[in-house]
Amino acid sequence: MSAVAAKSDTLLEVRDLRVVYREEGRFVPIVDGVSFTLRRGEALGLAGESGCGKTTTALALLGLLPTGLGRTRGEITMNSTRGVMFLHRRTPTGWRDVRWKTASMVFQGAMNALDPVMRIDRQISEAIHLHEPGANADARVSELLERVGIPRARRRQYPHEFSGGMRQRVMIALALACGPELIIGDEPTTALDVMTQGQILQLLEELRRDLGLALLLITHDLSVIAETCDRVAVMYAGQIAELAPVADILKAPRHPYTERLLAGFSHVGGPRSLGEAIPGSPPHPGEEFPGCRFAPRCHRAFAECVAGPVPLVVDRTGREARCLLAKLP
Amino acid sequence: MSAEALYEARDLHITYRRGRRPPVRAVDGVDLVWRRGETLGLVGESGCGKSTLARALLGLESPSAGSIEFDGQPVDHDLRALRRRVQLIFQDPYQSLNPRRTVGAQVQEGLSAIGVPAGEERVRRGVAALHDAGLSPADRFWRRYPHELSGGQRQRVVIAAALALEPEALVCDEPVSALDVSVRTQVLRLLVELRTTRALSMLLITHDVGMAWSLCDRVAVMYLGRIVELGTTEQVLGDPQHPYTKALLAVAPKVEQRTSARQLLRGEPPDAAAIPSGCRFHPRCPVAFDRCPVDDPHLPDSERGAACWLASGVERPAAAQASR
Repeated sequence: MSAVAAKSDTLLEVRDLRVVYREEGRFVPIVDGVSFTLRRGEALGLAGESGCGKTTTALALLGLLPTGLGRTRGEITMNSTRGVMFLHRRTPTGWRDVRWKTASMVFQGAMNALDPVMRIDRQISEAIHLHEPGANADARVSELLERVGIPRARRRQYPHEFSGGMRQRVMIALALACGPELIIGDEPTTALDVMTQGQILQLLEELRRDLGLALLLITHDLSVIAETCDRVAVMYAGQIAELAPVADILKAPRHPYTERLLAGFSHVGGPRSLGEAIPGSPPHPGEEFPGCRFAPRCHRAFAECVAGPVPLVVDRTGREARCLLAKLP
Repeated sequence: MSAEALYEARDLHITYRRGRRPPVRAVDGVDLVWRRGETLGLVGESGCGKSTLARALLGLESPSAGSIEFDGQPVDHDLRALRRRVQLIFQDPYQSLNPRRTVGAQVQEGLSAIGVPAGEERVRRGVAALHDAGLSPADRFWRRYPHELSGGQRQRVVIAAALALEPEALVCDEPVSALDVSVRTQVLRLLVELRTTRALSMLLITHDVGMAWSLCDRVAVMYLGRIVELGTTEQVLGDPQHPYTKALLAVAPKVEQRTSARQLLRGEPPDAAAIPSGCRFHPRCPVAFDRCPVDDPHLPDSERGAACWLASGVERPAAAQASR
């Protein structure tokens, strides 16, 4: 029995996840030892820039890794109301019972995920029938579309007739179709306008509150996470650099990467100048690091940082930081 | 601040006709002065006409009505000179660079277009531009192709290609939106440094009010083809008068936890082919009253103002306040 089942408010537990691809005869890690838990109804943000492994982590959770990527290590346990699921042991057919019914995903480009030649109400009813044959889908489709704010008159329209924001609402309705306990949003508002982004974030918050959904929100935008999430995991080069409650990380980040990322945000009423920049650019996957992966760009780095691997420091409250300075007083 | 106008738009309209369908009024009566030496922010949602206006500044769009002048002359008076003196930096460096040409070739491209012959002089200016854009030593980058560079380095190449022409002004259209979060500040700091060392005038087009706050001297807020609020950055963003500006500020994500409910505008982003009657913002406006759908409020012809009846001193009838 895993530790998960004992703590019943834990919905998802990821332990030491490693995902690699093969290049010139060696394995290149994209996700390199990522662990976190997600409680029922909790919103966890997964932050980091492109290539840091955040999307790959999410795809691994749902068994959706593209060809060429493989999970070589790690346990994924889902403590669903339908029973404890050890997802890392699932076979391809076994995954079908997890996706949609327990966890579903909302992607950035809704146009790519929707069938362009099928009316939206039918797309949703098909999804329901696929997972629950014989279910009375019509009533559920109406309820779902109403829930996400699609007017009744527009239910029989095609995806191209909707704006980006409305399509994202359709995607969310689709994700909710089979009553999941977890929604994974991969940059769900990135392609949208500021005002529409606000509307979609508002909708996700309402759904969480009303349906008790847990949310794993993946985005490069820390401000979106600050607004919507309870906790945040900041990823860098395939690893978690820092994990903490949002309020704590905003007040006092413990990893220099988080510190500088936050300094990069300007807000109206704040200083009329730019914060300090992070030099250089993010590493390529497979780059070898003797010590801390962020050290080459870090403004606080010292000799020991590059001497050997830097462990993840966990304090009494469960805050995590992969930085040698984090354990100094 | 010098009062000399670099650009001046007067009742500028840019309309796309589409056969029988209603025309798209992308820019619909813009009055705006961009002064020499200042950094002017142009803020608004996507589809509000910001980028069309930017293209008009470069002579890439011609006015359907009204006028736009550069340095006291119509924009199309001398397009060759204009396109040397004003450079455009787009959001996506992947699209503004040619994947099959080396960095060295691309920073020389503009120079060759303005008639600098191939040779030592052209290379020298290209190298200097790369250096100024923070790509040094330049020979490390000269023979590289865009795909060999990071996103931040690519945007620096775009900036270097612009600098090589020794422009007076830069039009930056969402200059860092496509870049990795950790390199955005680098690129913005570079632009700020160049603004000082080269005494550049800058137009910053962005939807990010926080960025406008930290970089701009003045801010113009654009909605559905028109400037709806104008003033210094402190005035417009610190003490907004137009309900649209207020809404933009309220919804802008900040790196802090939200303590109050979001104040969201109703409805969809606007359609420039169906601009509402009266005040174009009234269908989404939380404080609209009976005059708004009928009468079109104009931006006052002054340094500071908002195109809103309430901002121009008109009292909102008590009945309208009670009904909301």
